Amino acid sequence: MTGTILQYKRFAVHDGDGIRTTLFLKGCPLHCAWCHNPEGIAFPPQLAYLPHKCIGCGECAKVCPVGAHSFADGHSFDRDACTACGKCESACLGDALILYGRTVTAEEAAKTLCEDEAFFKSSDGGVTLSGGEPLMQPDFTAEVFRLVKERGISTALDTCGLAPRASLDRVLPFTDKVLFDVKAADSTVHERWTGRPNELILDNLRYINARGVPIEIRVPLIPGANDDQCDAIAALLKPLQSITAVRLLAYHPYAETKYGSLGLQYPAAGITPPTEEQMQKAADALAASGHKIIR
Amino acid sequence: MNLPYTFAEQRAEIERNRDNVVFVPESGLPMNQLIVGFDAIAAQNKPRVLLKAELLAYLFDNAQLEFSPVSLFVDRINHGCKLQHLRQRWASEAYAAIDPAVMDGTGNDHGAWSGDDDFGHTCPDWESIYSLGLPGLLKRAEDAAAAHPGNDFLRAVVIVYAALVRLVKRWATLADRFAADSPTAALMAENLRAVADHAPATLYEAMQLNAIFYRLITHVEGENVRSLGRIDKLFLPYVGGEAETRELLRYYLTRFNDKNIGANIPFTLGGADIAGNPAIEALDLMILEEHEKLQIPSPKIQVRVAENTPRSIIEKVCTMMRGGSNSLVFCNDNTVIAGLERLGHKPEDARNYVMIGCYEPSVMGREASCTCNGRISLAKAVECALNGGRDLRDGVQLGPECPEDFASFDALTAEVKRQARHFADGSMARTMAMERLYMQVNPSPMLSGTMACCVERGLDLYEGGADYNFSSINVFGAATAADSLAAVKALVYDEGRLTLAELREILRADWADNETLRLSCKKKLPKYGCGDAETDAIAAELLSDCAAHINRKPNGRRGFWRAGGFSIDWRFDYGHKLAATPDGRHAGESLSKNSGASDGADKNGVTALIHSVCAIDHTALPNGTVLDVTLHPTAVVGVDGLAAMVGLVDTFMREGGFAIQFNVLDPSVLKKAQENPEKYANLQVRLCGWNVYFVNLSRREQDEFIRWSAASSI
Repeated sequence: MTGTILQYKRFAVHDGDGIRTTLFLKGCPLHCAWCHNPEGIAFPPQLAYLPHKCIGCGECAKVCPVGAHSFADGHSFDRDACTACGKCESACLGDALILYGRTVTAEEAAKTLCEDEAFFKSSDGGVTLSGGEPLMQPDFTAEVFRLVKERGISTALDTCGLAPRASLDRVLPFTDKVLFDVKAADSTVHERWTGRPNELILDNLRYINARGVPIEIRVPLIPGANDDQCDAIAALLKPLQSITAVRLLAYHPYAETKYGSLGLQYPAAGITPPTEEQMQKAADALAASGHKIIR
Repeated sequence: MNLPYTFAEQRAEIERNRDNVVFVPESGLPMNQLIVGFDAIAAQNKPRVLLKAELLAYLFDNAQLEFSPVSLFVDRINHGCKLQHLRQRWASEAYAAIDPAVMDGTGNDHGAWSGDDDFGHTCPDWESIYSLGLPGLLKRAEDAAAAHPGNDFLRAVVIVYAALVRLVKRWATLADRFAADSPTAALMAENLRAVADHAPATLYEAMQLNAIFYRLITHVEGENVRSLGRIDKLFLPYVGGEAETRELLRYYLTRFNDKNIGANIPFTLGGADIAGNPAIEALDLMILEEHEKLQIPSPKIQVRVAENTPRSIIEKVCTMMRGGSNSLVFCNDNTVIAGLERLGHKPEDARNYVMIGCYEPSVMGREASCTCNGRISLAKAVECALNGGRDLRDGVQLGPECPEDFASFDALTAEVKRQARHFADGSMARTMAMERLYMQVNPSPMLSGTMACCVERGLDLYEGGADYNFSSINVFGAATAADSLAAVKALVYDEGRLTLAELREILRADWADNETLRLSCKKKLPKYGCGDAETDAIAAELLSDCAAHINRKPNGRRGFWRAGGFSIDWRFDYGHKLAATPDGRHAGESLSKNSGASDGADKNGVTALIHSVCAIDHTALPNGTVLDVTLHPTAVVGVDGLAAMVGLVDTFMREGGFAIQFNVLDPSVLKKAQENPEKYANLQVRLCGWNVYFVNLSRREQDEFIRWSAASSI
């Protein structure tokens, strides 16, 4: 059983309770305009190149099997030729090349995720799978969770909610908590900004709720996109009894470099982070759900 | 206690008086006359301990006294640093007689090792001071002197303490003169009379006594008192109402935020033996809260953590650290106590430890710890092992001669250990030659007179009067050394990319024309601090081998040697004197800091770093060490962030770490502070063992700190 992953993040403190190690998986069915993990969207591996970190050592060109790196007049990178084999990442001496999308077995992943077990135990923390979208690799996600839980470590699933019911059924038995994104209540608005309608997402949310798995809702606040949605989101969350808290996340513009490094256009150009007043207004609106609001 | 104004109203005035001391001219001899009388006594030919006592008594009787009617406390006399100058003379005379081969400074000049005297790093017997008070301490000394009529030390203690009682009475009389115009002065006069008359009965009296002992021992007698003691345990019997306690704490704590107090004066809170007590918890929280509100870098606080430490205390300290207070360190009771017991401390003494200075355990009032005698660079031991025992830069022989090639990595590692042990021998020999002369240089009747053990034995602290008489060597640069050996293993022994001879020439040339190789060593080879078991084991093994060579060896003062692992700012000087190292470090760059990774090498974050550090057996380093963790504020923001920080501390303790301290800061803020110092006057940073206002650092130190924070920020 293997999965395609981006990276591990240890001492993750905002991906669930306590100290956690988060594993980011590759591939996501949504294309949110504000996405701050664009390396997680496409499923196939991608090589990121950060020109400002390149020191011109030329080690990448020496190991590249397809000649994607050349140094005629400074470093030039031929993205079309690149097969994302990752050899150059290992050779790079400037930390300028990053391979997004490595294949690991569930056993390897679980072993790495459990390295900070002592910290999980002292802080009621655990392991989080995020992305990308972990439910796009349901068998891998379920197996990693199963292995982690075998060691008595708690698991959290960070999901956008867009997945076949079968995928949820595969993963939920090994999931202690779900971190569930709600980006808009109105399906048209949702589709405009994420590329997909939200009926299935909200249906899945109600399904998880009915199964009694604790849920933390995450609402990213994107001025101009979904800041008019908070009242409606509060209304739809109100009856859901498995919700432990609603976390309001402020849009931040720090992903622009990442888009550039992947040869992608930054889709959120022009969006500005919410002001304190906008955040407070959104928090007040969400509070009508009756749930605890975390900022 | 009724004060006519609050501390807050008078704070600026109080701090002005603290930093610009006003000595009342009529209260004593003018400096020129004082010096004449002092020099006449100093010229006498008599045992040094008696001479010192008479000089102290002379100063206590004749020096001008400070008095400020708003400060609530007094502790300074205008002594002209006469005794310090005299001690320097006595030291240079005494040490000149030592065999020059033993005193040779080549090891230190080359950043390999040093050994020196250390009269600082002591903790008076605060328990005796409070339980007996001044008259009781005098009586105890008089009784002992009567029982041992020929004992110069006990006579000296009587002379000093009799004069000390007179000094406090002089202060009370001086305060009376201000009392008509100042209700505070009247209060101070009454308090000083009480202090002269009997053992403290109130918190105000206990604090005044504490301030006098700290100041006179440190700044007049000349020992660096490096702990105010376990003040929660000591002060608890005197604590009255909360409002009054808090107000007194404000005055007391502010008194020790004195720019003349070098590397911060510390006190210790908590500990397994008292942590279950709700009254202690309440007092600790009060002390922490008042310290936090004052926003001062000194005094610094060492928080003992045990299984029964209330979570409220740990959370409070973490909250203060997140808020930018860096004057706090967590110490692990289990490890510290086990380490002291391994050294031979009785369990009941080990449980009563204070932290001296930064993070050096010592039994309150029963120990001469001398925690900063010697130092050894393990990184230099690697350099010497790779180069026939010689400095790679100038060829000077520093360690024993050795082959220039080794058949196996294990043989090389064994040679590194041999070089380090040789450094330790040099450090111990030099220190012991000096400490056998301590009574010629620095007899200390005032400090020794606090200690029940010294009075019972009739011996000064510096001739072995304490129950525990230690000398110390700090063994540092372990991460730089381990990273270097791991690199040699990969390059020479595993991959065969270079011979040792080729590597040696590359290092001698400081990687000239080998930048690619240097970067690949720096970035691609394993490093200590990343949770990599093999590299961590090298660091642990180098430290434990050297510590085993040091711990429990007899010293020159009826005691033993003990090993520690802190580098503090020595890492800059010894790094400056170190050639390029195989881990990709350039010549002259700093060594790794304390227990931490090489700068920027801890790429797997704080949890992996803690794993690595805890692979070291810290009970073998009872002279102390610390892990410095820099966290970006966003990593520990909010309720989640606090829980995570507590989780880090908790895990560190359970895994057997020694002490841990945090800098929670954003490196970009430091740059702004550098540009606009006036806007960041209160920004504190923890440098090594002590902390400072960032804007008070030199530009070079600021740059160094910014570089380190950026490299190690998680």
